[in-house]
Amino acid sequence: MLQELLNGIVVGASYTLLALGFSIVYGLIRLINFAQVSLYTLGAYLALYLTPLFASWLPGHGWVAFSLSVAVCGLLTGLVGVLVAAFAWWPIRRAPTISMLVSSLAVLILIEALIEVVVSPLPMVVKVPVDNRVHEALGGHYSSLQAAMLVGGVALTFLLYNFIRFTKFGRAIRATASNVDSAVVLGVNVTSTTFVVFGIAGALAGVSGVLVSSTYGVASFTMGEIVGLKGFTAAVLGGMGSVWGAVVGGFTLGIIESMSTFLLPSQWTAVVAFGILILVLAFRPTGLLRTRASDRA
Amino acid sequence: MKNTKDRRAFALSLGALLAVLLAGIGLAGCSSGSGNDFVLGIGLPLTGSNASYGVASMDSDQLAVDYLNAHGGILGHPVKIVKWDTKADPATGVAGAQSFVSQHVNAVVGFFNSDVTVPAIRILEQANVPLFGDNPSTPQLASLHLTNFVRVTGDDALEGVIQAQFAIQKLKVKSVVAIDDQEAFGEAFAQAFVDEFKKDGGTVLDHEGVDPTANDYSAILSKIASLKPDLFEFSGFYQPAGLLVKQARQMGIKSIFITDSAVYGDKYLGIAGPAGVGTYLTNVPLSQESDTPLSKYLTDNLQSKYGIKADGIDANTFDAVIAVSYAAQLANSIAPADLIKVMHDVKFQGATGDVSFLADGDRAQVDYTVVEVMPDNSYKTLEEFKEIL
Repeated sequence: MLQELLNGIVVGASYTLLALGFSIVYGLIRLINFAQVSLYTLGAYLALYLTPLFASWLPGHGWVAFSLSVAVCGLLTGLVGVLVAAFAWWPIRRAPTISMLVSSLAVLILIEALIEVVVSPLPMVVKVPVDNRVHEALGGHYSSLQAAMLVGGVALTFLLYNFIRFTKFGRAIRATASNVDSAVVLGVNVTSTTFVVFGIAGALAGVSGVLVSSTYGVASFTMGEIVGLKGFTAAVLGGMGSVWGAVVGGFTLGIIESMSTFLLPSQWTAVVAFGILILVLAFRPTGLLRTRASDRA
Repeated sequence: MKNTKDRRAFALSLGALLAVLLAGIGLAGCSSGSGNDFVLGIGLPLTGSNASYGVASMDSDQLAVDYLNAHGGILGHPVKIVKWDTKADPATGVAGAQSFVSQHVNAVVGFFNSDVTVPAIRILEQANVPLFGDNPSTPQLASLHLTNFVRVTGDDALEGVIQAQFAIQKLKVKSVVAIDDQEAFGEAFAQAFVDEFKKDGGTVLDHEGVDPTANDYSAILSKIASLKPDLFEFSGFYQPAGLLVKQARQMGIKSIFITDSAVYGDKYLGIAGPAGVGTYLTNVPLSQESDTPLSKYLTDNLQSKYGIKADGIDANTFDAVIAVSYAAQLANSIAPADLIKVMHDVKFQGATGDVSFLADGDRAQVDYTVVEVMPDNSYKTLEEFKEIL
C-alpha cells in the first residue's frame, strides 16, 4: 500500500502545479484560465529542444543541464502566460466572464494546434541526460526523475506560498483578490498584478509539463488535456482561489486515483475520484479548504 | 438607433456567413475532379490522438494511388484522392461519409478506427458507395451483413485468439493480467484474448482498463506487481504499451509482456527503450516478409519518399486502395454500384500477401506472425500463422 500511496503523491505533484495556476488566476479575477493547460504542453515541447542543447553545453553535468532546462522552460512559458493575458484577457477584461472563458479555451486549442502543425502530430520521445536509475525504498520502486518531480512540485508550492505571503507583490496579489476597489485605493496596480499572476500560472504549468514529460519519456500535443482537467478538478476539490486548497486538492486527487486503481478494477478510478468530488462539493461547496482572504491569491 | 445599428450589423454578419457557407458548398461540389477522374475518398485520422497512424496510412494510400496512376489509372481513369480527416471521432467520420457521397466519389477507403467506421458505413451503404476497409478490425463489422464492405485487416477476435494460443503453447505461461485501452479495438482484442486464454486452461488474474492518454501507470502496475502473473498483456496502441512496459521494468515487474499488431513499429521501441527488449507482439506480416512486388514497392518508396518503415497497418491501407482497382477491373466499370456487385470477388497478391474476401466482407485468409524484440531493437519472427476462414 505504501507504493500506491507514494505513486499517488508523485502524480499528485503534477496535478498540484496545474491546480495552483488555476487557483491563483481564479482567486484574482474569477477566471478559469484553461489556456495554461496549453502552456503545460508547451513547456514539455520546449524542453525537447532545450534539454539536449544545455546538455551539449554542459557535458557530464546532466542534472545541472536538466535543472537549467526546467528553469528556462518555466521562464519562457511564464512569458507566454503574460502574452496570453495581454492578448486574450486584457482586451476583453470588462466582458462577461463567459467571454473570457471562451477566449482562454481558444488559446488552449490554438497553441495545441500550432504544436501539432509546427512540430508533429506524433508523440515525441523525450530523452533526459541524467542517470534515471530506479531506487528501492519504503517498499516500492521509484526513478530519480519521479523523485525530482515530487521535489520540484513541493519546492515550487512553498516558494509560491512564501512569495504570496511575505513579499510586497504577494500582498498586492492578496489585496486585489480580496477587494479590487480597496486595492486600487491602497495604490496597487491591479493590471500589472494580474499580468504577473498569469505569468506565474504559466511558469507553473510549463515546469509541470517538463517534469512529467521527462519523467515518463514522452510528449504529445494533447498531453495537457486530461491532466489539465484533473488539475482543474484538484483546484475545485481543494477550494478554488486557495493556495493550500490547490495543494490539498492535487495530492488528494492523486492519492484517491492511485488507491482506487489498486483496490478496485481500474475502470472505476474515474467513478471513484469524481464521485468523491461531487460528495465534497455537496457538503462543502467551496471545496475542502474554504477560501480565506489570508491565503487567497 | 442603437438597436437599428445592431440589427443591421447582425444582418450583415449573417449575410457574410451565408455567403461563406454557400461558397464552401460550391467549392465542395466542384472539388470532386473532372468527369474523367476516378475519385477515391480516403477517410483517416490525420489529426488528433490517432494521427500518427493516420498520417502514415495516408502516405501509403498516396503511394498506392501513384502506383495505379503510373500504370494507367483505373480502367484508364486517373485516380484522384479526396481526403477527410476523421480525427478518430465517430461524428466527424459520419460527416466525412456524407461529404464523400455529396462529392460523388467512386469508392471510399478508410476509416482506420472501428468506432468511426461502424456509423460511417451506414451512410455509404444508403448511398450505394463501396467501402474498402483498411484497418477497422472490430468483429461487429462482419456481423452487420453489409453489401458494400470488405476489409483488408483481419478482425480483433482472431488476433486475440492467436496471441492467447501462442502464450499458452509457446511461452508456457499459466497466469495473466490483461490490460486494454478502453477503446473499441483494445477492448474487443483483450476480450478475445481473455476468453481464449481461459479456454486453453490459463488463469486470468485480472482484466483492467487504462486511460491511453495517461503518462503514469504506476497505480495499475502496483496491482500487477502484487498479483505476480507469468504474463501481462496489453491491447491498444503503441504509446501506452511502451510506457507500461518501461514503467513495469522500473518497478521491478519481471512478468513477460505481450502486445498487439497496432503497437508494432519503431515508435513503440523508442518509448519503451531497453525495456522493450524481450517483449512479444502479434503482427500482420510485414510487407518485407510477404515479399511480393507490391510489398517491395511499398517498403522501398515509403522509406525513400516519407522516411517511414512500412508496417502491417501501412500495408493494409495500401492493399485497400489496390483492391479498389481490382474491383473496377472485375466490374469493367468505375460506377460505385458496379464495384459493390463484384467487390467480394476480388483476388490479388498485395503487399500483405494473398488478398481475397468472404461474403460478410472479412478477409478470407489472414496471416499473422508473432515477433520478439531483439537487443539490437529489431523484430525477430518466431511464429507464422495462416488463418483461412
